[in-house]
Amino acid sequence: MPSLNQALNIGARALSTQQRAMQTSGHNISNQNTEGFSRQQVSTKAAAPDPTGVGGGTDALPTGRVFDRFVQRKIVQENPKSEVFQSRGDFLNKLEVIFGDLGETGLRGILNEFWNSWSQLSSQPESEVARQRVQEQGDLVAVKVREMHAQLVSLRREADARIQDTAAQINSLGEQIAELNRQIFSYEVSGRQANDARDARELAVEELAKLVDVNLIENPNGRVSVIIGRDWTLVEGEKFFKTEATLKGGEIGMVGLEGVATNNNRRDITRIFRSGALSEMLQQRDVTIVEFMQDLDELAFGLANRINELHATGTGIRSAASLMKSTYGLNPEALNQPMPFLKDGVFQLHLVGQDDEFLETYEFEVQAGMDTLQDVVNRINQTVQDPSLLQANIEADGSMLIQTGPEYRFIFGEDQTDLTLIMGFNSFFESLKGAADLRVSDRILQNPNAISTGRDLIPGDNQVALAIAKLQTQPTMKNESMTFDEFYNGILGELGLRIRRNKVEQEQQDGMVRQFKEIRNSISGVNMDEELTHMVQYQKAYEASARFVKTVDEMMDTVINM
Amino acid sequence: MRVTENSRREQVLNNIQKTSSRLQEAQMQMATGQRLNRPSDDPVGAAMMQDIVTKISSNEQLILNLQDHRTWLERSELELNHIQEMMTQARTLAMSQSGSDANEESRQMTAREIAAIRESLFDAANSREGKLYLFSGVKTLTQPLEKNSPIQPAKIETKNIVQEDIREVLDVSQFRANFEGHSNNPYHLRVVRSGPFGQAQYQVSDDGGRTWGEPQVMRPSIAMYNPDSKPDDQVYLKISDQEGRLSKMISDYFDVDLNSTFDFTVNGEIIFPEGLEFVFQPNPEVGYHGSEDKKEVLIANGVSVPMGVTASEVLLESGDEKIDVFSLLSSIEKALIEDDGTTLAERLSELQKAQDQVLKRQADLGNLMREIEMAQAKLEDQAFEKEKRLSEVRDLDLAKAAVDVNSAEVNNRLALDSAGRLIQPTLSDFLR
Repeated sequence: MPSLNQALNIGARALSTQQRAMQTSGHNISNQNTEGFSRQQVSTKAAAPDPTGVGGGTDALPTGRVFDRFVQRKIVQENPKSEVFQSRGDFLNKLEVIFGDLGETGLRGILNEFWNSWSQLSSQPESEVARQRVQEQGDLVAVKVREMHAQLVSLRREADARIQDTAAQINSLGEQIAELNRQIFSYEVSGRQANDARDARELAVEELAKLVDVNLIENPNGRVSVIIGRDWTLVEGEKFFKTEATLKGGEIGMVGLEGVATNNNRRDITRIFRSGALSEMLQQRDVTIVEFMQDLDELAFGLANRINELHATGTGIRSAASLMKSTYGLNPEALNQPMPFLKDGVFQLHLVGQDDEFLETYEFEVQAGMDTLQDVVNRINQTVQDPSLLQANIEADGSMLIQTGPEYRFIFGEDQTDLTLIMGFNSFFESLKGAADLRVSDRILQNPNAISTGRDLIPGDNQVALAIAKLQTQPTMKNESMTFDEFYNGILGELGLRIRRNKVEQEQQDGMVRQFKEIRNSISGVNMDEELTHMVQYQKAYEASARFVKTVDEMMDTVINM
Repeated sequence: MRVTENSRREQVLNNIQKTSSRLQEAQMQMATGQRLNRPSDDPVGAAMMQDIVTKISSNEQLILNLQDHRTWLERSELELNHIQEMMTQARTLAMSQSGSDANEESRQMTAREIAAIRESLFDAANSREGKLYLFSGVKTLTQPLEKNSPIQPAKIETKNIVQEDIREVLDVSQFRANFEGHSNNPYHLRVVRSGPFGQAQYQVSDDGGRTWGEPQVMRPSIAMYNPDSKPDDQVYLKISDQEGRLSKMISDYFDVDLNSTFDFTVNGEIIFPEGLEFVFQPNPEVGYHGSEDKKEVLIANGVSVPMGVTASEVLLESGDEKIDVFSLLSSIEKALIEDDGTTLAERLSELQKAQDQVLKRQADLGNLMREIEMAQAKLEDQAFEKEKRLSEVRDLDLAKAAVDVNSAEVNNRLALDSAGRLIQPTLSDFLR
């Protein structure tokens, strides 16, 4: 027979259940703006009836959270891609700042003025002013190219620094996840729910998925293993294996990433990331920016070589030299080998007197693939015979020196062998490394009259200046298929197109992630109206339950007072 | 779908973000007046725009260059006109003296005037623009015309000497052989019979050794006069010892065995061996020291033309129908002094040819000038065209931009407005 006590029991349980539900609503409302929070729900079930079939009231189940782990998984999968576009966009925009100046202060504008200065000089080869203009504009080109190179280098440094930061972020998130694993396990092993810890862990994983691609393995005991990149286990249960940015290996000055496993076992994991901000930063640092640097180098070398080729065998005004040292030197090993890039043929030196009068023309024949620099020097000295007229030497630094006796000076004549170009004699631009050290040669910076405009010291001869001015419109780059301008346009166009494509892709990807987040929000998010409705509902239920208890109480009174 | 506070908030934020970035872009375009501010605004357009800017800039430089060239050509034209005038004057003067009414006195007077004209021509051809000589070709800092010294050391050829041993003993440094006088002819003097002065015989060629005149007797001073040649040349070959004395040509300079059969020296005199040659390089009165090469100048991108004319083209270059005006005027002067009417008449027709020669150069300059003017006009037209094109590519359609800014503004307002409405009444407002 049912006892009144039992009924009181039912009432008490109902009251406590409604109170719990009310508390949960309060929890939900207060956390409506907490990131990563999933709303929680109290579910109830009817308590087991007694043998006569009378119900036992309600049983509150552990408070659960409303959460769809498949949607969450999708977000973790798509997030890294979204971050790739984000990070790529950042870097491309910075590259655009370096290359994208479309005005007069951009490289293209400066090059225009440079070519114009040659055009003017070709029209007035005798003019001191025109010479100074070429000197200045040449210097501006070199300065601009070096500056752009430096900006690219610092952009790489920036990427590198971000990679280091990212490694630290990964570690902090990994540590959090391991700790949360521990909390969740210790909660749930004792049969409690770890709703908020789980939310925090989802959030940490989601953050991690912005940085790298993440694979999640859920263990039955509530812990997750986190694998980042292709195969680095960042978290396994409560253990966490950190990543470290190190300078060991790879390019000098740029960090690589190492994973540190138990017993300080290290492994290079720089290349294992397939998506996420980190992989994109590595891609930018090691590929994209490097490509643009190479393009700039190619432009710098192209400019220097094409101009020097014409400039080396030319002459300016009273520009014969009594001493000339080559820009480039050969290292001791190269000195013993046949000179690279040398062509078969003849090159000439003209010996002139104090008043530019031609005294002697020496011709030297060289053989490609045979002659070392020493051979060439010997041939010069043997042909000239008299060192008081002219002699050649190899300096300690491997460069070549040509000097005349005090009464004489010399100029270069025809050169079929490219010797002047290879060694860097009488050059306009000098560059060993490309954009990094492009500069106008000292000889020209000191004396604009040394700028070659013609040949054989004829002051009004403009054939060299004219040929250089014409380079602007001639196909000189990429196997003579495009002009300097077209080449530079190519760089700009490539950059512009990449930025546009990235923008479109980013919008698409962001849209997708946003949709998943919306779905998640609509499942796990807090709706005030809903919560308020619940509150009314629970309040009413509480009131009704209280009423029930009161009624039972009255019933008991009745019994007692019978 | 369940709507939650968060999803509502995200959406509103997203909308505001989108519309305000569109608004910002529209405002930036409006502010710069340019549609193209970065390569990514329009990669193809950016390339096109840069090319147009380059073209405009290099055209501007070309136009500046062309203006310089025009100044140069105008100066050259002026000088050529002056030269032509002087030559007309010379011809008028010479003509007036070629008739039968001319007398010796008037011819002497005229000769002096012709000499003065020759000097003026010389100066005109050496005129400068700034520090640069107008008619020197590319050797702009070298005076184009210089008066040559009448003395030219003879080049002595020994390779045709018949007897080998004589070649061994003949030491050409022991005596001095000079040509004196001006001529454009490459004279050769060849010994055809050995012997000392008075016995040896020679022939003269005025065409570098192709045809030879009659044999004549060798003397210390020989007029290089070939009967078939132009009679106005007055070139002498003078043979002397190192001190310049004609008579002291002693045999000691020539180490010869007197007992041998060689008739190289007789009584201490030079014996000229058969085959010995004296070569005279053409030595006109006035020599050209400029360059035949002319400055090539750009008149359009990649197109160049040779600039100006040289003094040699205008006034010198004997042979090939071209006339050395200075020697022509000299010979007119000489004819006048010598009162030689026939020669004078002959020279007059040559003077006509010389004037044609100058006229031709004037025409050349005129053509060049026209070419440059046309190129300049074309460049100026192009500049206009290019500016228009640049504006099309780069600049904003202001009307459209204004509409864009407006609509972006409206969109942005709407987004903000809907954000305002987000603070909707919730159930809590209705619960008491």
